[in-house]
Amino acid sequence: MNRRERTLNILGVLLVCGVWAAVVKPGGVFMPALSDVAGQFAALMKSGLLLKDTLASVARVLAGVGFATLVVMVLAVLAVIIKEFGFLLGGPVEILRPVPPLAWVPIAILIFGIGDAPAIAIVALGAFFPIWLGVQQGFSEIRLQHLLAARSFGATARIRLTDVVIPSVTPYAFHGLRLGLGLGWFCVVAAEMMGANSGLGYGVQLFSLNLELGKTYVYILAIGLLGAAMNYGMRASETWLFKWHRLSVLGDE
Amino acid sequence: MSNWLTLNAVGYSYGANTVFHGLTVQVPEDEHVLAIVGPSGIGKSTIVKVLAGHLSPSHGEVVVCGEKVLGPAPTRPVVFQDYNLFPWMTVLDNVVFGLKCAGVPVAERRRRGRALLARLCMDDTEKLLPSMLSGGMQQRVGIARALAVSPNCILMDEPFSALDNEMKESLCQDISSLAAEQNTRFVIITHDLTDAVFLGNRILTMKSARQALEYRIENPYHPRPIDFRYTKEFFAHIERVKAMLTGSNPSVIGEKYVLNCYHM
Repeated sequence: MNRRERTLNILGVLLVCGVWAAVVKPGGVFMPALSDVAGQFAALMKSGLLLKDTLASVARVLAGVGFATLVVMVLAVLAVIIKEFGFLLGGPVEILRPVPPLAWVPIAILIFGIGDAPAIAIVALGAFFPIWLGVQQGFSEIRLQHLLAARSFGATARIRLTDVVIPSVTPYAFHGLRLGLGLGWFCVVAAEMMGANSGLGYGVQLFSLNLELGKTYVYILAIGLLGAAMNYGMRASETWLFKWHRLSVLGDE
Repeated sequence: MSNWLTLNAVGYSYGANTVFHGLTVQVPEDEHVLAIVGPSGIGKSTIVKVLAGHLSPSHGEVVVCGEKVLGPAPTRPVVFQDYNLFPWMTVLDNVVFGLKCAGVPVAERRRRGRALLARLCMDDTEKLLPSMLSGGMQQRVGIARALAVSPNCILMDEPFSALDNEMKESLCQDISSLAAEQNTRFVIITHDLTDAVFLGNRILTMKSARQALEYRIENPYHPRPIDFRYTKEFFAHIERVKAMLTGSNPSVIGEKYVLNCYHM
C-alpha cells in the first residue's frame, strides 16, 4: 500500500467520524453521539474492563489459531508421508468447510459448557480451513525443478526439506494463517456472545441487553480496530518475510 | 587419448515412444565443449536429463568424466533454460548452495562464492534476490552455482534461449574462457547454430531418433576470440552443420559421419 492510499484510508475514517459527530446528537435511540462513545471509552479504560475483555478475547483467538495450526501441521506431515491420507481427508474437509463455524456454537457449549473452551474450539474450527488450504496450496507449489536442482548438487533429504520444501510452502501457509487469524477473530466474538462470561463479544451482548448504547459501540469499535490492526500487522510481516515471493511469483514491483 | 564423455548405444524411450536410440558418442579429453543441436522436439533435453541422471536410459551406458551415470551427482550439475535459481535465496546463497550440500563451512563457502561472482563481474549483486536481476544476470548466477562445486562437467540445457543477443555473446565468451582456464567440460544443448559453432569443439546434430551426426571444429582453441564469430570459416561451419541437419549435404552418408575440417 502506498502513502497516498494510506492517507486516503485514514481520511475516510476521519470523514465518517466527522459525519457521525455532526449528525448524531446525544440522546438518540439507535446510535449514541460520538462524544458519548468517547466518554464511555475513557471510563471503560479507567475501570480496566475493556482491557480485561480484550485480553480474554485475544488469548482465546491465539489459543484457537495455535491449536488449529498444530493440527494442520500434523495432518500435513501425515498427508505428505501417505498420499492416500490427504485424499481421504479431502472429502470431509470440503463438506465441513462451507458450514459457518457459528453453526457449531450451541454444540460446542453442550460439550464444553460456558467459559473459554467453546470459544477456543470455535476459533480453532474456523481457523483450521484457511490454514489447511494455505498449507495444501504451498505443497502443490513446490517445483519439481527446484528439487531436481537440489538433488543435482547432492542435497541431503534434510537440506531439501529446510532449503527447498519449507521455503516453498511457508508463504502460502503464512497467507492461510493470516486469513485464519481474521476468521478466528470473527468467530471468537460470536462464540463469546453465546457461551462465555468475559471477552469483547460477551460485552457487546451484555451492554446491548442493558441498552447501554455507548458501551456497546465502544466494544464494537474495539473489535473492528483490533481486527484491522492484526490484519495490518500480519500483512506487513508477510511483505517483509516473503519479499522474494512477492517479487518472483506474484511479480509485484 | 581417453574420452571424458562416452555414450555407448544409449537409448531412451517411454511407453512406445522412442526418443532416441543407439546413440554412441565419444568425446576426447582435449575437446572441452560438446554442443548438441537439432530441431525442437527431437529429444535434446532428454539427453541432458539422461547425462544428469535425472532420467535413466532405457538402453546403453553413459560415462561422464570417468563416472558411470547412475543418478544425479554434484560432479555434473545442470544449468537450466529458465535458470531455475532458488528465488527465496540471495544470489550468494544460490551460488554456494552446492558447497553447502558438500558440507563446506560457511565462511569458506562465502569466500569462494564471492570470488566466483567477482570472476563473472557480479560482485555487487550478492545480497540481491535473483528476481531483481535481468535474465542474463540470472543465468550467470546459474553458471556460478554450477561452477562453485568445481564440477568435472557442466550440463547446459538451452542456457541462452531466453537472453538477448548481446548477453548471449558475452556469456558464450565467458564459457569459452572458463573451458580454457578451468578443467571443466561442457555439454551445451542449443537450437542456435551460431552458439553451437562458437562454443563446440564437437557438434552433435540430432537428425532423428536413430540418426545423429558429428561435426568437429578443431580450431581455434578455447578461449575463442570474439572475432571468430565474424570469420568466413565461422559461417562456413554454420553452413555445413545446417546442411547436416537438413540432410542436403551429399557427402553425409550413413549413420555417422565425422567431418574433420579445416585450420584457421
